Parts: sequence; structure tokens; C-alpha cells
Amino acid sequence: MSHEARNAPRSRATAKGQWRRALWIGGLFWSLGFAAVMPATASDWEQFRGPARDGISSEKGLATEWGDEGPVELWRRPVGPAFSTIAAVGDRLYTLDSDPADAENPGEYALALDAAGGETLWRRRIGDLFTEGFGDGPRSGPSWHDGRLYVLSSRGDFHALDAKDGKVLWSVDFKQQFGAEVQTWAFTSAPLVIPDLKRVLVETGGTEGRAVAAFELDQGKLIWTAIDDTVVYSSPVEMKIHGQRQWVFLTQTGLWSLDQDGKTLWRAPFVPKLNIKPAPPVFVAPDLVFASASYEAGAKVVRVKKTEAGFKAEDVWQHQLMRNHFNGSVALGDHLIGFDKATLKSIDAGTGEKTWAARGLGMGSLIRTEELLIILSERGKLVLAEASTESYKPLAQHQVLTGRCWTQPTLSDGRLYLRNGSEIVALDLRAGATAAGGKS
Amino acid sequence: MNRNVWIASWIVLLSTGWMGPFTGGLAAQEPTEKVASILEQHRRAVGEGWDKVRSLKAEGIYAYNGLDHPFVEYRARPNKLRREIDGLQPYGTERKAGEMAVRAHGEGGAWVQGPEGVKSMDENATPAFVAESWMGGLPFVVEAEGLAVEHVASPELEGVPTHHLKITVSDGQVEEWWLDAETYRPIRRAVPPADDFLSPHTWHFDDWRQIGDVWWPFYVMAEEKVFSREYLYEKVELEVELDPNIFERKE
Repeated sequence: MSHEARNAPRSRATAKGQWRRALWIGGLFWSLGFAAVMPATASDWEQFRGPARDGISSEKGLATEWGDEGPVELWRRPVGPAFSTIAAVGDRLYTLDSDPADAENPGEYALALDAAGGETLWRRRIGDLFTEGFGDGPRSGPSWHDGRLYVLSSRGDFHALDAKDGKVLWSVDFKQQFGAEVQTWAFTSAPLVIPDLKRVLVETGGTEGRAVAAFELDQGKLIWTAIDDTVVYSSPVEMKIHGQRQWVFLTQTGLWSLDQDGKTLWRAPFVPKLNIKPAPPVFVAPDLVFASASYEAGAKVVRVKKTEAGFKAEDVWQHQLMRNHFNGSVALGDHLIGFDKATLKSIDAGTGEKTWAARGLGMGSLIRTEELLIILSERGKLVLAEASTESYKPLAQHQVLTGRCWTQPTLSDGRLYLRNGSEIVALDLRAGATAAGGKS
Repeated sequence: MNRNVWIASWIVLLSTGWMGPFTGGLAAQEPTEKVASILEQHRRAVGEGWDKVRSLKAEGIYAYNGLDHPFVEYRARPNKLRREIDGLQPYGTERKAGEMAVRAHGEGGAWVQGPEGVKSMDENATPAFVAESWMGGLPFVVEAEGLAVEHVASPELEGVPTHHLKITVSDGQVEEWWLDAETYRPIRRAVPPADDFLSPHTWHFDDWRQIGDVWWPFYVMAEEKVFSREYLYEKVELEVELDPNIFERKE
């Protein structure tokens, strides 16, 4: 240490030393795997479509323009085929992939990555490989809670894994337990953890009133099953309407709202002959629920009312101006922004009227913050646009991936994680981000 | 009436609320321009030079279900069109580079070539495909082809004031076109959906650029019943030498 440094202001030297100790201790804990069991923080993105499963992030301070080079790329790495979303918790990422090149025993895997550099921390087989013309591998996204990862393979193998090392804690085979079959596009539902009730909800595809189920988190004990209907590749969403927590599912016949015991609160029919409706329902406060699907189905909004007899859903509108093919819409005030097949649109949730439309993004996906829409085009172009219901106002765009990009972005701590069927890329979207991964 | 005066008149009427009962966001408004005037301005807007163009070659990227397929398109008079799309598989599941999918119309009719071989184009989808072969586009040739045109209204479409035309093509099929009321270039075209699951029924045009003395939409999205295809044009050449046989079906 130099003389100057020794004589530096004490407070600064002390702070530096504490910071180093903190880093060292943090690194030690990290190396022991404690990062995997740390509680989720406000900036985590623990599951499909983010903390509230609505595609909305509370993050602020993101850059609103990029240079010609695009956003700062932190790292990029190969990954096996899958359409699985990425969960980001602490300094770890979790996603699913597959290994079609394994000729003897091709499988599907859950994997944990170091968020800082993308290195694989562990990779755990979760089922046999599902193959399909548009792309092989898992469709479901992992859900993290309290040091555990809940994952669903394409063939209906549901597991709770230790997020520290990927060890399987408990498993359920939906085919065996519920008589489910692997549908054309496989099992795709993203498990939904209800932390305070210590349970996880998931679509099982089961028969005889067992299309969805609630499992206890610790041992995987079945708590209840519900819904006598065909699942349609969707995922449940928690909503609070008229003070009542409820869990809304979209199945072949339409929307179902269940209470914590699996009892039906209300139902609303939606294109009952169509069995492909992967976009999850969206809640628009205070009492509207939106459902949408492609294949000429369109969209529908119902208003949920509470009466002395219980809850009921009344149709508000239904039309074909919004047809979510894969990815769900996001609410912005009293509007919804989403992909009508290959046209990004904003519509008034209350009336269904369109306020703007934009093309050139294919059947992409989007999430949003308070100020920004973060859009990934179907061909891998990342677009930042103003979060506006009045007009489409793109602010910055850059080609970040190529090929088929059907997986929604993940935003955590200013970093955006994107993937296609062959690679994952990590971008620093923070204002003032530098190539070294810090901020200028 | 001078177009600017006409637009200004409407702005004044709408801003004063005088027409309130008749305007409702996307509601259609009464037609105020004669079809002949609209078409004349349209012809100027896309370039009257199209009358002299005998052939063209266009290249770009055909984006379908998230995959990029390089494509090349040839047009020649009369009514000849050929599109070669590299590696396109049924439903766009994958790209097999070097394996060419072809859609064409020549003197022998319309045909398609894919991995399963060559076959005639679905006859319900053929009129719309043939209409794409016309130099300058369908509204440009209505007078020369003697087609019936109706000005339906001047609605606002996605925030853009338009002129909505219905054009009856020679086989009786009706096509609908929406021209930007300011530029007079097409922004949308629609035909009745064909039975064919994969036949486009609505086209969106954008990114118009000048090529010599004519204009070309460098972005075209064609909507099918379920999916959509995007044509991202990169290069358009006029008056190229073409072998007439490329438009004809070969087994």
C-alpha cells in the first residue's frame, strides 16, 4: 500500500476495507451455494412473465436510447433447444433446455447459470426429449421460490428441485397420476407458486376433474385437483378482484376462476371449440379479465362482479382485433398491449377499440416497465418503445438474436436476458451501462 | 378541389365538433372525392412510369414463423409472376437452405412447387396471386384493365386517414384497397379468405421507396388465417432480361 493510500481519509479506507470484506464473505457464501436460497428481491424475475406474472417490471433507470452498437452485451452462450422462459433470482438464472444431439438418451434439462458470466452451475435431467417441427425441447418456464425450482417437462414430469444444486426433491408424473396425455404441443404450463399458502398450482392435463392441481411445496403432497376440461397450453394467473384472491385459468371452454381451495368462483366461456390458447389471462384493474387466442379466436374481456350469490363474469366485448398467438399481452393503465398475430397493438380494455398498431415485429413478445415497452421481435430484434397507449413510439432497436424467438424477455436488476432455441444473451439496459458491466 | 384545401376543410369541421354526430373514431366518413380523382393521384403517387415497366426482379427476406428465407421475385408482362423462397417448408417449420419453394403464374396457369413436388395453385387463391403480377399494383391498372371501382368511404385506419376502394377484378372477385389519403399509396389490401389455410387474405404495405421514377413498398405483410408472412425487400431492379420459361410449370 502506498504512503498516499495509507494516509487517505480514514472513512474512505474503512469503507473500502468493509466493502472488500463484504465481497470476500459474499463470495464465500456464493461458492457454498447460499445464493440459491436467498429470498427473492424486488428486482428478481422468479417466473414466467415476472413477479406478478403480468409481464410488468418495477425497474427504473433504464437507458432510453442506444448507440449504433446497441445495448451493452454482457455475455452470450449456447443453450439447448427449448422455448422455456428464464427466471432470474439473485445472481443466478434458471431455464430449461434439451439435448437432441444425444442419440442414445436425449433429454430435457433444468439448468442454473451464473448471471454475471453465463457459466453453467448445474444441469439436471427432468424428462425425455419432446421433438416437434417448430422446435424441440421444453415449453414451460421454471418458477423459483425459497431456494426451490418448480419445473415441468414437455412430457408431464413435474419436479421440485433444490435451486442450489438441482437435486430432485420430489416429482409427480402427470400421465401416471392424473391420466394426462402429451398433447400436440406438449405440456407447457408454467407452475405458479403461492408463497403464503405454501402451494404450487399447475395445469396437469388430467382427466375427470383433474385438469389443474395444487401441490404442497415441501413434499409435493397433492392438496386438490379441479376443472373438468381440456388444458390449452396456458398458465394460471393470480388476481385480486373485489378483495378476493383468486387464481384464473384458461382452458378449452374458457376462463375459470378458483379460490384457494380449488372451488370455482366464476366462469366465462371463450371459443370453446379451440384447444390452443397459450397466452395467459390478463387482469386489468379493478375488475376486468382479458383472454385472447389466435386461430381466428380473437379476444374477450369480462367484467367480474360480486353479488350476494357470489362472483359472476359478464361479457364486456369480444372481437378479432387482438389474437395473441403465443405470448401474452400486458396491461398499461386501462389498455392492453399485445401481439395480434404479427401486429403489435394497443387496445382499450374497456371497449376493445384499437388505439395504435405497429408491424415489422412478427409474432414477438413484450414486457414493460412504467416507462418502457421492451419488445423482442420474432426475428430477434430488440426494441425499446415508450410505454404509451396513444401511439407507438420506438426509442431504440437492435438485432440481438437471430432465428425463431418465441420466448419472452426477462428483466432483472437492469439486465435483460433473452433466448432462442440455441443461445442466451445477457444485456445491460441500465442508463450509463458500460461494456465492463458497470455503470459510467 | 385542391387536396390541401379539402384536408384543411375536414380538419376545421372536425375540430369545431360540427360533424360530431357523424364521426366516431374509426367510423367511416362519407366519400368526398371522385374515384377518378383518387386513382389519378394514386397513379402519380406510385409513379406513372409503371406503365412502361416490362419486367422486374426483386430480392429480400421472407420472414415466416420466425425464420428468414431469402427470396427472389420476378414479374413480367402480361400477368407473369414467380417467387422463389429459399428453404421454405410447409407451415414454415424450418428452413432447408437450397431447397426452393416456388409460387408462380405464367401462360399455363398458377402453380406451386414445394418439398412434395409441383401442383396447381388452389384456384381460390389464384386470383389474388395473379393480381400481384400487375406492374404498379391493382389500383394502378384498373383503368387499363377496365375494372369496376367503388369508393366506399374515407375511414381512418390505424390512425391514418384513408380512401377505401372496392375493385372488382375480371373474374368477379372483389378486392378492397385502402390508400393513404395523404400520400395516395396503398397501406392495406384485402381479399375474401380462400379455403386454403395458408393463403393470404390481407396485405399491409409500408416503407415505400423510390426506384427510378416509380415507387415500391419495401415492407409487405401478408396475413393468412393463422400465421403472417413478411416480405422485407432489399433490392428491386426494373427492366431485367428474364427467360419467359421461368414462369411456366415443369414437372
